[in-house]
Amino acid sequence: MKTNGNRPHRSTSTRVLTVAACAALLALLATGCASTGTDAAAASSAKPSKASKCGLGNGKTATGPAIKLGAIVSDTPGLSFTDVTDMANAYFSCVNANGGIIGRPVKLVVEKDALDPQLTASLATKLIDTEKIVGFTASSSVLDCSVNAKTYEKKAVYGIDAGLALDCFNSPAIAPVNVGASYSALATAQYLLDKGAKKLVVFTSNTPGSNAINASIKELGKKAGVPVTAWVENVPVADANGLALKAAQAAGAGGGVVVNLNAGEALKVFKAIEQQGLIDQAIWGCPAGCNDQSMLQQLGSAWDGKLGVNAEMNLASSPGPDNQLYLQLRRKYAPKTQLGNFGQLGFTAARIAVQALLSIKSGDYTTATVGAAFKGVKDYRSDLYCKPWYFGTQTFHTANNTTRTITPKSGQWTQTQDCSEMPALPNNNFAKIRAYEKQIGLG
Amino acid sequence: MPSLLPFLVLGLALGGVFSLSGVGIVVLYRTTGVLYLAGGAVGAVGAFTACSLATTAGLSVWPAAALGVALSAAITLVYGLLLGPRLAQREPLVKAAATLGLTLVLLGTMSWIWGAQTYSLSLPTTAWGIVLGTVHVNGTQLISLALGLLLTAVTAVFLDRTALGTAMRALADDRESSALLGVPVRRVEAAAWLGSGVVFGVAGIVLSNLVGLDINGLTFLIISGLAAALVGRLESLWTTLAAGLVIGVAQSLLTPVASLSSYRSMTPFLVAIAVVLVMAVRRPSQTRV
Amino acid sequence: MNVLEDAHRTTAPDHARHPTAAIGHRLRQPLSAAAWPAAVAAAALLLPLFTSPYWIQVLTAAAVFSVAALGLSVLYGRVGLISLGQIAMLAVGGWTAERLGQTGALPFWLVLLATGVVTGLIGIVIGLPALRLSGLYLALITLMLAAAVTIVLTNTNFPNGGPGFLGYDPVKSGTVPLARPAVAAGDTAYFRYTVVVCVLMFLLAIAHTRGRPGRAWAAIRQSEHAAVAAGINVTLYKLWAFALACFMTGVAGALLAASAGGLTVYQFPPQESITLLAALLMAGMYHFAGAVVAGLMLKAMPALLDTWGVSGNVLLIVFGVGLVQTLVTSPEGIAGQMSRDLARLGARVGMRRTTS
Repeated sequence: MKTNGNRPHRSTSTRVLTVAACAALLALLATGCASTGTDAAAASSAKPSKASKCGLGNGKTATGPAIKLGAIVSDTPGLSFTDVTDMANAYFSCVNANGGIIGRPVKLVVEKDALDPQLTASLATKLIDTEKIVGFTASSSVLDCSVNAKTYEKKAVYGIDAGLALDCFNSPAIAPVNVGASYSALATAQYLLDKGAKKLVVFTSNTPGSNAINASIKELGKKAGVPVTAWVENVPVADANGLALKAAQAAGAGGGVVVNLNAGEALKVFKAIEQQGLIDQAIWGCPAGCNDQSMLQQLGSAWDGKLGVNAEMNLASSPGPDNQLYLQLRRKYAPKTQLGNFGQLGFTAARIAVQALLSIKSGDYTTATVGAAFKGVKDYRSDLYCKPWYFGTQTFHTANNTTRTITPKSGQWTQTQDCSEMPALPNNNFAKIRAYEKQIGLG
Repeated sequence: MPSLLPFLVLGLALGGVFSLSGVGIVVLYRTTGVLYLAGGAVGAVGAFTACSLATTAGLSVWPAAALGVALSAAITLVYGLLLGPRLAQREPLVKAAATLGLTLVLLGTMSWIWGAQTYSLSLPTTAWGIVLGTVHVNGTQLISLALGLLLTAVTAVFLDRTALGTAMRALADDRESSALLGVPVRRVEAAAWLGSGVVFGVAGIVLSNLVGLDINGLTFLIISGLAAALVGRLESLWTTLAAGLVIGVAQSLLTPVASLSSYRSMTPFLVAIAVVLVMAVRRPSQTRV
Repeated sequence: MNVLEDAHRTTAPDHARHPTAAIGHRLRQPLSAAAWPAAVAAAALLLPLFTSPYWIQVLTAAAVFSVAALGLSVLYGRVGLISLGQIAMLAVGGWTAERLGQTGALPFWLVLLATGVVTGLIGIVIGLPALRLSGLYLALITLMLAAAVTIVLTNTNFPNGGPGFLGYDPVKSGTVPLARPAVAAGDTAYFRYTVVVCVLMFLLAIAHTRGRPGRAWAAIRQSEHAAVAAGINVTLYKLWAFALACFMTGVAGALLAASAGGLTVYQFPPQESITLLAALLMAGMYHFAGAVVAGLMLKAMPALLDTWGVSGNVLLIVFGVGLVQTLVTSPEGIAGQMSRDLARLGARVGMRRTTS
């Protein structure tokens, strides 16, 4: 007490100092660095169709006890996927204002995780045991599948998610609406081959499973008779210039490079490539993580037409009715989300979940009935997809296996390659998946 | 075998900035007795602020960068003025630990404001480049190296020739006696805080061009500068400069070496650990601060 | 030569600063030292009856981190040696435990013990240069070592049942937690198991500070030269402190490896060691109860803030402010203030009794 009592003014002023410094900073910078894209920027040449409806579309507000769905989403500096859950929530809000699930509202309980497996595991427990959710929708977490997939399988809680790790695509309980970093990298490599790359170079951020991604691209190279150089790169990248140079040297003349890093890290590398005048030395590609509006704004005109980015969904400027609904809901409920891919994925996951919930006629929404309804989704069609989406009964799921490639052009993403099939290789499941699709009549 | 020459250029540029922050650390430590570990975070705040000002406030890049540096300097100065006197009688460890507190505050604030998206900041000099033989060198890389050399030289001359510099050296040698002899301690210290704040701000902006605008990355790159400063025994400016360049070059030259590439970012840590251990054996009195 | 030499500002508990006082304290209250860990343990063991499975998992992590904080508390609070590499040591403990455990040959308690021995030995190796370094330089060296270890672990990854020394299979995905003991397979049982092991660690630390090592540490902290003059084997006791701190942190890492979710290198960033230091300083460096509070601040507080919808970044700012604040004004932290307040309360109650 003595120490404190003698100098109360000091402790107070220290606190005042820090608080004042923070406040000044916040006030100065409240707006952040880059502005989010507006719909106006997404205006397309084609005449947009009328937006689709939300759920029942009857304009009646849903009442009564909510049907609870859950989501775990990563939100950590440099790796934030909250756009996915924010847009899923936007769609649920619209559904709840339009008759809900036969009168009952849907509630998405969103838990944010970081890169801590104990946290991710405890959040799954919280959602399943405490919140009593009946299924997962629009989860988009770096660790969720690696840590929790076995729990979901054991407890028979099903999810329609936006998967990141390969584990999300190899679980009977999870059907991702997206392609995922791994297969997206493979699709990007295929695009580079289609563009005539004489050699493939790939570097993948060093996380568990990154070697598997590199191995699949090596297999692709073997099939196409093209040499492949692959390595894993520690993130955060501390010397992007050196990495860019190394990649360009490895590619040699006419080679293609897959920059398989998340958007923030990839941007550092692209800036380094630009700075050193290496853009034209190779063909550059990036998986779906780069399909990001803030990335597009930072890239600048030097990259116009020079970078192929794998796109899991149709362009945000496309005229289809589902995309129009997405744009409308983003404007109304989630204007702070980035325009494009991640929001579209959350929107799509929520839309599929609602379609599944509406198919339950008993009015009884439990883990079992909702799980069965999720698994029963067989022919979800949307203008955001190349092909219909289904949940499927297999132990591995990649219904979204035909993707586009986009490239920046005067401040817009534009399509550079239309829907193309993910290459089937000995070390992936696409041959089996396509056979299954034929079997259920979607082939 | 790929050509190593371009990697040498990259390493020199990176090393120039390491030297820059290293010299900032040394001068501040000698003058105030504070080992300032928040230099990286302060530089990162400056760089992100510059980026914000350039994109949303519509400023062009140079004024935005200048304001960013001004903010870095202001944070450093305010910290020094408010906490310097309060911790003046404590030993070096406590003074350094308190700057880690500032680091955490800045990290939290930056993650809050800029955590969700990707950003980049390009100085006009980055787009400007020359080709030397097979090697492309851009303006920012030249500036980095030049700044490292220039700052070291200017600081050395400044400490040697000017009244303020002499006062700083006097403080570094013996605070109590300097105060008794009429050196205006507070004012000299304030000058050191402000000056090093500017240095860290500039280092932050330049680094954001060289390695990318990334909260944690920029904050912890101070460790490379610190490693250089430790090699200079927190004393010699020229040794610090040389050490910064060596660390930068060594790290960069390891990039294309397949077996060691993924361990290259350990370079500054290993250099610093090795030097401190050698110091501990050779001159134990110096490491027992 | 160390932090606490600055005695007129820091107010460490008297028994910590004066070895003789510690003895007196011990004679007066032989049971009090073990009393509070026992109370915490009893409360913790009963807790699962009142809370949800979610909080059980959160509190398991908090218990583990309180032992990591305890290690730092022994090093810094008792001996005056600062380590900014505690979290990296936790990671090394986790790695070692997973590697030892994946063979399936050892029972769980033996994995814990063996991990502790391995990290304890590593602690001695780190402690050797520390004999010649002190204060600032030791802090910097441990911070850099931690950063270097993180890079190595990024490259080796945590064992997942693969072949070879590293035990990592690059093609296999998913995190693989260490197999739990048969008696504690469920989350609740494992929480109780963890609490028991953590309490043992606290008792181990208390036994040390109450015994000969504690008196030697107090003397070293006060003045190394005086300690040498008094015939204390400074080398032995400093290395002992490092070995003990790293042993406890290693055991904590092993416990973490078997908790839900497994391990990834990204949960052990070097800055986490700084956060640990901040939390421990705020909670109380000179009282072992402070380590418990620090564990809760690091792992339970974010969960609590999350339920209130507050951003985790706020906590980082609070830790930063708290670190500066504690260094400037009250080095005793929350636990120190609390125990003093309790003591005063007790004294007042006692006074009233005697007057009435």
